[in-house]
Amino acid sequence: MLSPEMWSGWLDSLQHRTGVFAQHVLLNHKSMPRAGIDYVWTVQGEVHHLDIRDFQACFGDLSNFHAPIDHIKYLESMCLYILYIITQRIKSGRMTLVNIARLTVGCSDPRASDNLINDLHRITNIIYQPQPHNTVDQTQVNAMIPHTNIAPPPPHFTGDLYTSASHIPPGPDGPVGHR
Amino acid sequence: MDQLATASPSQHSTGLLVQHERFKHEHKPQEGKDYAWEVMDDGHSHLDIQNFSACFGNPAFIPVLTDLDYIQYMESMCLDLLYIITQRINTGRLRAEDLQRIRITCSDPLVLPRYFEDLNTITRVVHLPTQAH
Repeated sequence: MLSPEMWSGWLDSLQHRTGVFAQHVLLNHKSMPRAGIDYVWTVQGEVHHLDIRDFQACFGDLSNFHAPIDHIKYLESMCLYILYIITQRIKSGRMTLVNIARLTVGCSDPRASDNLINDLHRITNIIYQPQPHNTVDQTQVNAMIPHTNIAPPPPHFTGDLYTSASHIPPGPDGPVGHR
Repeated sequence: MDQLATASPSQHSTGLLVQHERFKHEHKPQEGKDYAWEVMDDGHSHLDIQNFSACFGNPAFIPVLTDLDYIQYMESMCLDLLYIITQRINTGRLRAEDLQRIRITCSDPLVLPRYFEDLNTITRVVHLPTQAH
């Protein structure tokens, strides 16, 4: 058994190497959704479309809802799984941030929960309404974000992106984990 | 692997966000200061993000160079947002069914709206079941 310190150090290292989702999968014994089986990507011109074909395989078991907090935890899990799927696509070099602006995500699984899908959309729909009395302008906004000459920003961004390197190696856009 | 799961009771009891913050040494956003809840006359809950950086982390201090870094920032935004909602539910002032009428805004001018648009685009799953299933 790992000591708390060792455990914390190990997780810290894991966190930095793999991100939150991989921890989520490891710690909860969840299966990774599989490209071509549980979800499918299609591309038409510049538009990338992700179809969720097996809702539970992609987002987890729907049968463990006992408390309101379970609903929130499932939404958390959905967020992480979607981002995992997109991350795999980006790692494989078949999608860039530019494509996200025109990304469409569908779910063709009739067993999917409309409530969960709608709630996920609702809680991530942040409407930008700056206070009218505030005089901060876009120049100040851009000043928050350091300029970099290392990588060009994607064309659809109005500001500049950012600093530091990621050492995450490219990964396959396919089955990764245990199932 | 079994040892990993059994050695982490905190994972199951606290959720990912707490870990996320602990490992990144980030501060938790503060209700009434960084964000504010309001219950409207018609009963729906309104969450206003008043300090973007305090709630989601300042992009200026978060390593975002590659596409993957950006996706990880989206991941972080999702978790932070769910943390705020979870706190509200834990205190009994929001129910899961209230999410059907929740409204979320951001009144902080120090933000790039593109973050919100991308987050929403990524999580906008349209349910179009096919007959083949």
